[in-house]
Amino acid sequence: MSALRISGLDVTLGGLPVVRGLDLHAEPGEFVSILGPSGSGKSTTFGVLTGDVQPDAGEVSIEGQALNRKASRVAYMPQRDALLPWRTVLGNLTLGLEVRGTKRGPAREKVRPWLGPFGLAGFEDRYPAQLSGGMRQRAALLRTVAQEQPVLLLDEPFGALDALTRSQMQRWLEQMWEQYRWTVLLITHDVREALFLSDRVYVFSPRPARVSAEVKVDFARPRTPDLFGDPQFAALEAKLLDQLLG
Amino acid sequence: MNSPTATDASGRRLRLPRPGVVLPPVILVLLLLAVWEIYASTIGPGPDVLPSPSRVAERGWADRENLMLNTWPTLRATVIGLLLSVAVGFGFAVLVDLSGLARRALLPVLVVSQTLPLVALAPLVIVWFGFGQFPKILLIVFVNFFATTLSFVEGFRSADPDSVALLRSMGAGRWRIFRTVRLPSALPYFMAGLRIAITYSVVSAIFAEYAGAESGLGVYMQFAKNTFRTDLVLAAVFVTAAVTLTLFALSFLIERIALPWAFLIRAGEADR
Repeated sequence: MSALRISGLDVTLGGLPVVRGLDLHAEPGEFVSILGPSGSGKSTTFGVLTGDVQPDAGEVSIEGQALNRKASRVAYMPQRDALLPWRTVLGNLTLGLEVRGTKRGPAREKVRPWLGPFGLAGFEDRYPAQLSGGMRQRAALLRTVAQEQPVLLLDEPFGALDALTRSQMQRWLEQMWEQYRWTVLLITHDVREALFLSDRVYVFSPRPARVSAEVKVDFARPRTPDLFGDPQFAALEAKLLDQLLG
Repeated sequence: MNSPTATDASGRRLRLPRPGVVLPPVILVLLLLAVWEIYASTIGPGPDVLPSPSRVAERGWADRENLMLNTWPTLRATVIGLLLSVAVGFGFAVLVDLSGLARRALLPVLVVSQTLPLVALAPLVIVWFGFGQFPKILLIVFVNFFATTLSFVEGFRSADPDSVALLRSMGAGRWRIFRTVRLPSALPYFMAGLRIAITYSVVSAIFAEYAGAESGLGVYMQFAKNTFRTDLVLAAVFVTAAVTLTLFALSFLIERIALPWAFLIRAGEADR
């Protein structure tokens, strides 16, 4: 059974067809990326999954169950970290659990063991304004993971970071994923990021969005930046860029 | 530039106001007082028309009991009026924020309320409600609720749409989003609105007292003016300024304690 399955999805926003006949799926423990031009309906697709956007037609199921607006089963990480500045790091990390009904105390106990692996130990009582860009992003990812939902939706999580921090974070995420094997759906328009992290990549067409290509990425794991020098990687990158630029 | 620092209970660095921020205005005020002092005691029109600052201080001090007796009612009306303005502003803002109909109905009426001439209204309010505290408080609320409403409305609107989308993705309802994201987002805006309201509140309290009251700094000033005691009028003016500044400083202290994160963000912006 797929962790996530979207079939025949149609979305219209303000009279404009944004998504038409979209099919995609993610298997448990699979890292799947969506590549697409700006404004191609990637974020709208996430909006459907988070319950923010009402589709016209199509079916969405998570672990075989139809999507339920009231009991969301995806954990979403928006483009910017969206950490609440008035909550401490720990308060931000427990936010999802609290909204989903866990009391604050037990939520904190649940999150604490994750602080070490996410490089946030000792920073739990700081405010987001006191963290570096990379730390904020790690905190935002931990806030997503801590919700313990079957699917993680990451919407350009490193888009706002400087180039150096960005590649550090990509390497770090690859290592973390190796270890925990979350089911991830990642939106990006960085071809290298998609190839470096994913098991499979979907390429979206310009609006209205549908899948214009699907590429399996089976480079061995763990992956290191050496991969960027691999001729096969370069060939795949060129192919995807071609596909994107139409 | 380094500033003197202290450490608060949780071990965070606490910035004290920098000398570069506090000193220039203090020096300017002292300079103006010195010019006034010299002018009044040399070529000035005489102490009955323009008393020197030292004379104002001396006479004010001599009459301190009476002065304090009239400061309390003004201060009380101001603080109660402020709290009520905040409560009324918050209520209106929540209505406007939650309902489009309330926004369309309420905002134009609030704007119109601000066009009514207070000078004409104040005596009428006294006629209707007497010489007690109530008409003073009413006037203060009338002057201020518009500013506090708008600062809350602006504040709610400043909530980060990403944070709202995040909460919704977790399955949060309207009320949860309101108290977890929109309300805290509004607090720094509210504090800015509160500071504007503080200055207006003291002035409107005194204005209401001028129009008619049993006691208060306005009453004191009027009485002093009618008995040609310019020194006591000015002493009351200085007390008024001191009261306003104290409330103003208090608002910063409250913000520092209640919203430590807002200071961190501001400090971060200053460093950049």
